[in-house]
Amino acid sequence: MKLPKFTNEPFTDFTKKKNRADFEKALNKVTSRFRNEYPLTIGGQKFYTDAKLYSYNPSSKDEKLGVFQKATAEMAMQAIDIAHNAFSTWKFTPAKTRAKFLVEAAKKMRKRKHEFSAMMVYEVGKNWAEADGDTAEAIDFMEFYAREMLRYAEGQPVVKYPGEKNRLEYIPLGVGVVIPPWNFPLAILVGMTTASIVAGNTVVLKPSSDSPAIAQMFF
Amino acid sequence: MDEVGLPPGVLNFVPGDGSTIGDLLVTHPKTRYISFTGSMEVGLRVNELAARTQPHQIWIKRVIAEMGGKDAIVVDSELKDFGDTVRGVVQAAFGFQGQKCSACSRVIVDEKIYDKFCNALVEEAKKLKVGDAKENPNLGPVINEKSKNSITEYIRKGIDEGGKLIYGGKEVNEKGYFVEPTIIRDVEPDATIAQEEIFGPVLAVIKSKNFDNAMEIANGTIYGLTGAIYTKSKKKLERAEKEFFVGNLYLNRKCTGALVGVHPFGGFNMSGTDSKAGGRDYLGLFMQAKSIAEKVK
Repeated sequence: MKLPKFTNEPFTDFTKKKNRADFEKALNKVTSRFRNEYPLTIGGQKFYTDAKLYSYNPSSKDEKLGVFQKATAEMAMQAIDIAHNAFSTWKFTPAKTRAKFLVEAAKKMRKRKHEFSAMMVYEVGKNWAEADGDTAEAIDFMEFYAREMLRYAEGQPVVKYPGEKNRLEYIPLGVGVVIPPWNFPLAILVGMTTASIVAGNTVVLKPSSDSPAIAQMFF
Repeated sequence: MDEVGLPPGVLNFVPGDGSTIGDLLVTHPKTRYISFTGSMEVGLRVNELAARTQPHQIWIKRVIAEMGGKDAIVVDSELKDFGDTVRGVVQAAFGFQGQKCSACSRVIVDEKIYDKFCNALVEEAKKLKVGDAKENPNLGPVINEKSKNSITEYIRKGIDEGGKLIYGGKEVNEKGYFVEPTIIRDVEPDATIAQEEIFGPVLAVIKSKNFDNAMEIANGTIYGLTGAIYTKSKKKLERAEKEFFVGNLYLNRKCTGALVGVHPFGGFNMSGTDSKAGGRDYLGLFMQAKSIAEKVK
């Protein structure tokens, strides 16, 4: 797989009327998500718990942005075990295949860019440009780490030694616990999570309790 | 990610209370590494817990941590462009309400231009509108009530410890958690608001006697994430390159807005493990190397 050279995702020019109108549309569109309840997901299975986590709009503190689950202690332990099991096969997935997932996810995020940004406007109070920058950075991380994985997959050059064939290759670590912040609730979450996955690790992602809605959109 | 068809179990989504599940995830014997971004307090706790070997654990856990900052912009007496410097500081201090780890929370200004610069900061800050993020103001709300209270407490402390409030300082609009962009001048380098991360729209202005003094103040913190210097002196820029101890140093530009691949991002000291996100070393932190030798003759 050969990917075109990495370039940074351009920022949206909000002085253009069309871009402003598109963003307004996205701001309206994501409000339909606010009524929903979202499960937590372990090993592809969805779970609902008794204890709920609510996300609120800091600009309008009584406005609810969705209902989420609070994992129990047992679920947290189980998530690590399941991630550990998944690691036994994921670690052997070719680097190219793993990189493709990131490029694919970046493509999908780019298509719905304003929706992701709009959710951050509501959930963490970013203005449009700050939210747009956050989404652009998330896309950048996926595109960049996909390429980086292909580079790492080539291994490290070693000195030639007579009578031997030598090489050095990079293998993943195992289960990673990823704990991102609310202040770059998309970019940093995506960066930490996809770097983990593309390197061949499996992840238990615990989003910030201040920004579960944008985390859910990525997930 | 679900839509791209990752195999089940590769990515598990587990929201919940940090107090209930955070420690459990970190201490689980099968956890191999923890990638954390957040406050220094929590980061250090994660690091400590991860270091304790659990029964049945067969590795040393790796911790990749990005923590706080107390980022400074040094403003020299000889500037390339006074207005550009003022705008850079205001943007870095108040962009996203100062809630970036890279935000400028200290501006260290040479005494020769100190009064003039303070006044210019106030004039620039006056242009900023605070409001509902949906309406696309300059500043939206801060993240939650706890944060709002902590920020206003820091403002009070800043004034109590001898700082002069020259702009903002108040909460606005009951509907959400809004705090005015706030500028406090004459802050002592060791005052609370010059040492602790506030994570809000509060800028401490500190007077420096000369460039040596400015460097000393800039480095006089437990953090080392971002920093910037504005000067037209080549010599001072060169000295800052060597002496300013931060993971991300910016010369004649603001200290926020790192780009992936362009400005690999991560800091020194209590700012974390200097895991340079968006740089070529980053993926290596999530891997280990295996050397394979085969005898062929």
